[in-house]
Amino acid sequence: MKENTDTDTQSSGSEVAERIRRSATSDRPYQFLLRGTALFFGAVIVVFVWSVVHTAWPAISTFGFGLVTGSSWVAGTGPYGALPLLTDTVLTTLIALVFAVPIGLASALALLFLIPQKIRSTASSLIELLAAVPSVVYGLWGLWYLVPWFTKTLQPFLAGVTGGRWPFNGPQEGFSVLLAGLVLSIMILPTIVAISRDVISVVPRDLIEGGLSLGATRGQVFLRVVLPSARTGILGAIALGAGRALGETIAVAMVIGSNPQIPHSLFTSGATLASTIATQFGEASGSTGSALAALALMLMVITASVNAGARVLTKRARMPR
Amino acid sequence: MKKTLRGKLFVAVATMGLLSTLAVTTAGAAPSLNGDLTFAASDSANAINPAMGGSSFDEPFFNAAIPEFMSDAAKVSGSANAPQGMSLYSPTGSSAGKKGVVAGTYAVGASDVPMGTVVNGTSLDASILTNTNAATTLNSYVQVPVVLGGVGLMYNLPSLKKKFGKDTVILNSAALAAIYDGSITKWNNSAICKLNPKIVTVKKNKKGKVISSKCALPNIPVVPVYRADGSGTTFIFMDYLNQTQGANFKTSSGAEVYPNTTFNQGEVPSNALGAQKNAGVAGDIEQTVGAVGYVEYSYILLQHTLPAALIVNAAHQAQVLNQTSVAADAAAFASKPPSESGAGVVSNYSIVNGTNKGDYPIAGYSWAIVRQDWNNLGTVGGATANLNSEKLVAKFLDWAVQNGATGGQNVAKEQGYVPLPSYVQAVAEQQVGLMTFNSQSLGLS
Amino acid sequence: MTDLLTQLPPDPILERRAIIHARAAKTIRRRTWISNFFLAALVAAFLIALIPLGSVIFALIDRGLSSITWNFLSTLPQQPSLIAQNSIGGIGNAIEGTVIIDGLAGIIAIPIALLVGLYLSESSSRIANFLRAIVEIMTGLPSILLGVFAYEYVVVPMKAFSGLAGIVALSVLMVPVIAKASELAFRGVPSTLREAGLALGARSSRVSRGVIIPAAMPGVITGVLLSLARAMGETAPILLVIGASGTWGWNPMHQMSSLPLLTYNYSGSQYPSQRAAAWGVALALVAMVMLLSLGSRFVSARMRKERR
Repeated sequence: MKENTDTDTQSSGSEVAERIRRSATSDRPYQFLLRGTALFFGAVIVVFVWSVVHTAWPAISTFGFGLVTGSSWVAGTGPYGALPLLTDTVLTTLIALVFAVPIGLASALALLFLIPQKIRSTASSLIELLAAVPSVVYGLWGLWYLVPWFTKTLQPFLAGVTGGRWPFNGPQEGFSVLLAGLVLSIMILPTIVAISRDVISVVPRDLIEGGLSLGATRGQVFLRVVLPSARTGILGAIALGAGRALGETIAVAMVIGSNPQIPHSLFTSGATLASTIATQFGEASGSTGSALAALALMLMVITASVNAGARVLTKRARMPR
Repeated sequence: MKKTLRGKLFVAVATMGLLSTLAVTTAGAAPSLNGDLTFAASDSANAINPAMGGSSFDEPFFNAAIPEFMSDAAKVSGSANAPQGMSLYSPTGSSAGKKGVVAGTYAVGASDVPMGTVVNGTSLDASILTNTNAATTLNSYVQVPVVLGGVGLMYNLPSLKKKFGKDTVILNSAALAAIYDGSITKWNNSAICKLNPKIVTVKKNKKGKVISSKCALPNIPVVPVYRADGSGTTFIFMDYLNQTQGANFKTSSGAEVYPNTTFNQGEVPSNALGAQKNAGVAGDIEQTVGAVGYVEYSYILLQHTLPAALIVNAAHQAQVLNQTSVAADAAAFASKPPSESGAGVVSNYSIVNGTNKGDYPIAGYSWAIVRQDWNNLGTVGGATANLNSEKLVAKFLDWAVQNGATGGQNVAKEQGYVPLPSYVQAVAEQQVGLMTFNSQSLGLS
Repeated sequence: MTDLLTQLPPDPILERRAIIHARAAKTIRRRTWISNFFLAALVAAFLIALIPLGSVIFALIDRGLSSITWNFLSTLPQQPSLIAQNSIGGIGNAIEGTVIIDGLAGIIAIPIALLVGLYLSESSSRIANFLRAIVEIMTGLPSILLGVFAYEYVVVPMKAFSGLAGIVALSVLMVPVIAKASELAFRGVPSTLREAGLALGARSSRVSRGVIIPAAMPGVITGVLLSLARAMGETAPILLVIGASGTWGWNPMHQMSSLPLLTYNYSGSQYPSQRAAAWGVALALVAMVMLLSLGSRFVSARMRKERR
């Protein structure tokens, strides 16, 4: 550093460039700190993934694919087949999407185009508040508000309307995949609204105005122009919502009935991958503990791939065309 | 009413306590302990915080007893010397209690089923007791019975409640076995009707003579509710059905059902409801007309809106579940105390189906499981394993099983449990007395 | 005049125009009606989305507010007796535990996350891109997985349930969230600012410290507070690792109590008094979480205003 001071006064352009380069290289400690921290965090993630794989390994090597395809899950003694848990996980997520996607997209459109400017920011903070409520509070609310409402009102109504036919047959005990899906839909709504609002807001103005000037109504423009041109991003938003629903734990554990079985109706109680880990991990030892870690591994693979897919989709959607 | 009952119980228990103390002293098996609450400054007890957890059945007891123990000890030893910062008990479940004490995450692990219980030739704890080292060997542990309680059969038949009042349905083990294996499907099944001769609609002629009496139990499906998670309550219930019905308690394919902490696939009828924890079972019963399920005594004592069935005991009486009837059941086993020969040997102890009069037949103890010798254990339940921490835990358990004015069984009584009968209390003290540090006695008084 | 007009043969062009007008008016009316109906449905859907929020908040206040007293917030829990049905005490140590676990997790996570965020914002090497992808995937990973991790790698080796295990789980949970938010904030700083700093001869560490971090502060603080709020409400990882506590204690090596866990435990309790108190606990938790999320809004809005 010191030898530089002499040349400073008469440095030519190329020397300035050289100096900038040097100052960048003499910034090693800083770069080292940044890279070191990044590396450290990367290592933590590796250890985290390893911990799950390592714990799951005995079960994987003993039971192999039976862990995924086995149709019965009995903690403590086995068999350890995750098929009922996988079906319940996927089913509750689908139910959540059925409710959350239309309402979420509608809310995003309403927030962007329909709600008066004055209250727009208040309205969108209300939706964000939905995301701020902790999962356990949704569980508590589901347990003491929605379960009685299900048993007294909704389930008898649905069974009455359809004559108790599939998928509204079976026990009317409140705790059910339907209820879990409904609670999940509320929890993923803010994600879907926020992301789809982002991706809809980058739909080029010209497209919208073009549609309107051709005589299309606003409703037609939304349906035929805005949503189709934002569809990649909307798919991404849905995938992110699905990722959240697949892994949601406590609220689901509190309302689904914790009864691992392949659902034969929407009123069946069930158990998801995440809820099973939460309710059984504390008591599990030996092969049950390992089988639960295998569930965690499945959950990790599923949510990571859904999130990775969502990331690709939303990224592509945000790219300028 | 309750007070006088409790008073009577207390007297009975106290007399029996005296007798058994005599018996134990004469046998010379172990020193009798009296709830040693003396802590010296050198014990540094106020800095020790041993974790305890396990059976949810025990939670009310431990969580009322831990603060009481600290305050009792402070009265005896002064607050500077007495333990101050003991954590509460975590109600994580019986299996979690056993797993925790073997893994060393709990200093005291509680379970409704003694560790090492063998059913039909297999140990229930085979996955944790692998005999690979001292920690995974049964006789490295002492098992201290700490509380006694019953299991109630709660049911939901609102139509009966209107006509016949509360607590009217009588069930026996045969009916229960048939309900849980699916061979009884309706409430007005003749087997249940026969047990309930008072639940009838009676037709009389003009002279008042009975011309017909018809079973008034409703013609609706019986919905058995079971614990979907591992549970000591399930074990006690299945143990009762297995002991009374044997091969009559069977799966749909006709095989005998052996007691376990969970009902396995195919052991319950397809219309049965599985629920999480006692609260889940109670909740399912509350919300399903026609449901019946087993819950721990506290749900009955708390007088939820739903009644509990009377159970026909071995003396052919229909018996209601309360503290007296559970005490009577425990008393029926006075001649068969848990084995006292050494550490870890109380496995396979069951008190279901006692033969006494006034005996409620579905009951059981809960056990606190502790490593017998803490030398070289590193940490136990988050506390450094040394003489001081082991002594603190031993003193806590010693105090917990005492019946005296400041003993833990007083707390148990306030929490609705039945105080330990003296012959079991003697075993409890003997087990605590077996605890050593580096093979030296802890020297509790 | 009028006679003359009526006698004229109808003008085919005018007639056609009238027909077209009539038709168009009809379809336009129909289309506008459908469109308006559709728009109304969109707004209605938005309002439906708010129903659960209203219901949750109503439930919390309706059932929880009556539990909230100074005594409830400041004392230790007490085991209710089955017979006496006495008081269940307070949640003081659960509030303490929540604040300590969340705070210490934040203290661990924030510096790491900011450095990771800075690294990601400055570098576009393949490693950085890979790490960025991992960080984004981590933000969506179920928190229960971190509970399994903390159990296997903290509780089992230490042979103890502890606040520390909860802190480890929550800090791993927080890092990706803060890193992502701060990376966005750092990238949002106009590149002219950075270049100006570099042109003045400052090292990039100096530029980061003196220019980029201050300029990105509102975004960073929002990210930090939001992730603290999210971590505070997490139950799943905490459930597996922190045990239970009925005493005061700041030492994270010991077992701890926490509001989300207490809410979960009380929600299915056999004691009616604990079930009722679950709403009070939940209300206290929601109040703390909302305080952080609203705080983040306030802080960032305030700082942005000051900038102008």
